[in-house]
Amino acid sequence: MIIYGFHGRLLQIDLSAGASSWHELSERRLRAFLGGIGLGTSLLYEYAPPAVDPFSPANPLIFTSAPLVGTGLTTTAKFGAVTKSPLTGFIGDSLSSSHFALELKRAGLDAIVITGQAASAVYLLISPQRVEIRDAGHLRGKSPRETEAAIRAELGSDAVRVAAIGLAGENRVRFATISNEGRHAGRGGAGAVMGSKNLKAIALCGDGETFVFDPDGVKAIASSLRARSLSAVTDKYRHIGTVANLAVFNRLGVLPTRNFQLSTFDDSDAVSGETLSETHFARRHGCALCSIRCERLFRSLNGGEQRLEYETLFSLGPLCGVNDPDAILQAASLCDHYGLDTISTGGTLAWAMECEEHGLLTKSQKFGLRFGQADGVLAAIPAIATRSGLGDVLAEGTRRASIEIGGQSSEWAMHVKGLELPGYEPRGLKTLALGLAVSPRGACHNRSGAYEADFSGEVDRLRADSSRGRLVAASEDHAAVLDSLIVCKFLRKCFADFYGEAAELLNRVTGWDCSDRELRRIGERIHMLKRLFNQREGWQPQDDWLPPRLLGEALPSGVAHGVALTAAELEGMLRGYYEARGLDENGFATGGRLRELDLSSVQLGNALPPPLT
Amino acid sequence: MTPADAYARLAVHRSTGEPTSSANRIDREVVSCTVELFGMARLLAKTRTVDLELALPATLGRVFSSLAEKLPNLVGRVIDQSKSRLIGACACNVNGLEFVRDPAAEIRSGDKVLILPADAGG
Repeated sequence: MIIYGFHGRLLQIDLSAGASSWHELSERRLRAFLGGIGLGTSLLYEYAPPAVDPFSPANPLIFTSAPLVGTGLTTTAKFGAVTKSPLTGFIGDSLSSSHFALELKRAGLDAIVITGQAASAVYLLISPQRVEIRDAGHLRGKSPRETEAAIRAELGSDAVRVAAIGLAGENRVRFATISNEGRHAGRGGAGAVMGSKNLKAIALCGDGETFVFDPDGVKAIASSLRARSLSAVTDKYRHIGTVANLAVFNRLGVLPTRNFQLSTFDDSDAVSGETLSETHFARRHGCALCSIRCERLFRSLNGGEQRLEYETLFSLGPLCGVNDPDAILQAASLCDHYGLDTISTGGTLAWAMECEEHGLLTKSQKFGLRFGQADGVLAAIPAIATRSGLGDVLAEGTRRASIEIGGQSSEWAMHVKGLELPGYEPRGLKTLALGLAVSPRGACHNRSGAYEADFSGEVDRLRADSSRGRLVAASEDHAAVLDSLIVCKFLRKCFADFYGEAAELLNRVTGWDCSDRELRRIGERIHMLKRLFNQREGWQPQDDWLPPRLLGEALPSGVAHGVALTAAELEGMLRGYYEARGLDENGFATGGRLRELDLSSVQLGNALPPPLT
Repeated sequence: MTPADAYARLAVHRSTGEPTSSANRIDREVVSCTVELFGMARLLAKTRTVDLELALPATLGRVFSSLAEKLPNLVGRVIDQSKSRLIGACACNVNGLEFVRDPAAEIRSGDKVLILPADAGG
């Protein structure tokens, strides 16, 4: 039976046994969780044994496609990578994009679930007709880009699309990425899980077609969305890119600087998006089938081009006190080369720099890890990837490293649930603060757009109140739907009525009769299942909390200097959030709400779906 | 400075604008303010700031119309065709503290009017 928009099947690969099998995915599950992060979450809950060690062969590494992928709709060439995160011990869900996503759909499947551990380095070659586990000994140590090129050369095909890990993933650096075409499933360390399985890369080559229910209807919506994507709403992304945030955040006093010791950067002009656009701009680029094309490539000192997003600019720049754009570009290039999440890399280095200030890091002298010293950053990144010297400690991320280094260093370890904070200062953005505290994957600015309320004037960004709970919950549900359809978040403001239009779009693709109300419920269901997974893996109320610095020190600089976020304010916002979510007062899911979301009736045991015959 | 002191200071800023010296707050025929441009607005204007003198009553809408006269290439890309509002893709913040949309909002001497991208996604 055709399930429009999907293939209705899952590929399971056991690297220990060297075996693969195809399984049916029911339409019921697909309608309940869509694709992308939603489908990945439901599969993680099912396939991950409770309390599994993230580096255990039993921890599944899951790749997911989604109903809108392959339909030609702008910004939908994306895929999900979901696993139990080695950085947080909770759900690790990431998205990446471009041609690999399209090829995943053409491979004739909706998900790949990889378990086990190969005896030596291997890569997977997957097509609709076959699965091959191939030797990758010759690829060890190569960067993701080098690996991609080598596999395509080896197979003699430019049509093959590859996602790979770099040396950081091979060495199980807990914030290693899975990378494809210069893009990254970055947060939470999925690359380290891939490395733990001795899996260097996945190569896809497919010719499978995605059938949609109403091709003309989809085409009409695609045309309309494409036109809207080129309107002024996306000007920022099309003309400057996300790096435009830096100057704005600095002016508003919410640019995390020197490991969140400051919220403004004196040298912000030197590294602002506007300045970089004038001094280093090389060209604009975009994901496959994307009309927005937000990527900015900047000229680096070696004559090459380097992609740079705001989060990378902030974390390797102001967060470490670095004001040299060439050094930031070089550091970004190193992170890409080794396959490292730039936010966690910058966050961990900034934490180490503060440790150095406190005299806790005598071994770091060779790196020169001091705020503002770019050389130290450039020396430390390879050390992290190779786990050399102090780099071996830093490769564990700030939470574990602060336990190892000791002293008072956990006081300035800027993470939530083990995931390092993104480039938004929570004390000056109170809704965001709550969003970071409760996010299932840790301090994350992508699984909710909680900051939008703060930047809109809808609320007083400098004051906390319990009404933020409702705003954060709504934002999380919205993000869950976007991440599961999948539609890029940079398209979100092109919808006049997101849920109504998205439901219409989904129905044209699938032939379903999904209402805007049902879509909202799907978003809530997906989010709730993430919480349920974390709860099963040991989540406790203290995990929905912020680092001590954010609750103990007022903002020291900028227009809002002196403004603080107290523990009592955060507790008040948390109560509002738990109430809005229908959780109990400690944040645990209750049976009544689970029944309302049909989660108690979804098949969530550990039994595999029946194999396809 | 305690958090309470900080909130009190911000409350003063919000009610009077910056700077708060009395010389800048006496009633005059015109109100002086500075527009700070970010993102697309800065790229189009090719400048970071624009000083304006507004006839009374000085409102946010008048800031935009005055700015449109000085920088007509912002109309349609930053300021909407009515010249009294920003387009949806842009946001306005006064003194770095308060996001304001209402064209009738009062602007005081010394105010810094920030024109920013409305989308803070990164």
